Amino acid sequence: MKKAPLGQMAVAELVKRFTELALQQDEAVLAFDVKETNRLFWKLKEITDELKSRPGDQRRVLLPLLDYPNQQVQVKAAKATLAIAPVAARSVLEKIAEMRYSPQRLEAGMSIVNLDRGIYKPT
Amino acid sequence: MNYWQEYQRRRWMRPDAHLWRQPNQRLWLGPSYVEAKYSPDQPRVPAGSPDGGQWTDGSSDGIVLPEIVVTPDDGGDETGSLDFVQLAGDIPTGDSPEIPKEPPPTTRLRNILIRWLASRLGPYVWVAAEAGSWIYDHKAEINSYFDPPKTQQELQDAANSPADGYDIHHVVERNSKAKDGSEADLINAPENLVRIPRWKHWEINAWYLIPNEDFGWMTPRQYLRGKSWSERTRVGLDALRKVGVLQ
Repeated sequence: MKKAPLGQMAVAELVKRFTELALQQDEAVLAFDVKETNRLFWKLKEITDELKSRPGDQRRVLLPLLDYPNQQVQVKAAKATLAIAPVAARSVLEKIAEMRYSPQRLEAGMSIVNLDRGIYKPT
Repeated sequence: MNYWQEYQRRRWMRPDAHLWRQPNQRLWLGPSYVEAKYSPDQPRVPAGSPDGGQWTDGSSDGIVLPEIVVTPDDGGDETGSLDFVQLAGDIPTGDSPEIPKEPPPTTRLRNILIRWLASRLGPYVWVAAEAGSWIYDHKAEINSYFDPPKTQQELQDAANSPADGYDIHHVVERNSKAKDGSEADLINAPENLVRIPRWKHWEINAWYLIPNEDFGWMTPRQYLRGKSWSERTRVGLDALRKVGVLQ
């Protein structure tokens, strides 16, 4: 069944879709599947952009995902909400960057470095 | 449907499911005719991935893995032999992982399962691995993944001693060298070479190739194109630190 365009989806549906895509991306990361990881990256960006474009910037609906029991979901939610909840989002990245064995620690750690160096400017 | 159920479904829906009944079938059975048959249409892992060019099932069907949260302090003794991990406490709890006795049928599924187990269980993975002897085929990669961070000098010195489970990594990416050849010596200089755990190497390589919010939606490789040697070195060393290889 063809999915509805993002512009027609309810906010709750967008959160659900974001979570599903991030979980798929977690598998792709574990499998070192760069092509699939990249495909899902752009899908996730579309959802983030859609939420951002809605009245009042609806990216805040992703904040509960900062506590989702999957680190890829947490990282993607944190990076999607850094502009609107910098303290909470950054603290999630810092926590994951300190994990001893995590496929997400590199991305989380480098984002902290890039934030501190002013290379990464969330908008 | 959890991983185990999904695994069993895949296994028993195969047209050659009878081949999977034999215990230790890996030791007894060669690939079936269907599996061995060459087909130019069979999908391969795309170029740019560490498995680039290898056959794949082409699927990206999801598997659902139970989530176990391991805190930074969990895990085994970093200095002891991982072959003889002593249980100083309880195995991290949560949904108990079940490791299939036979290897997952594709490289993709094997990588997902093994790396999921290693990242969640740390060195305890060897305790959990009793059920699936196939996991020992990946012993070198798993053990090296648990290496503690080392000094840059230690990593450089190790580059002279190739070892199973490790790769020689270029701190500044080979791909980024100047096209006019002026950096050829720098790229392959001992200062730019380190020996690091294979999975960490692949994680860094993948990170360079995946678009990133940090760099204005470019990949790190795209962002670094044309940047100075010192800037590329800085990013390369940061990546080694953040992946947990460099002190």
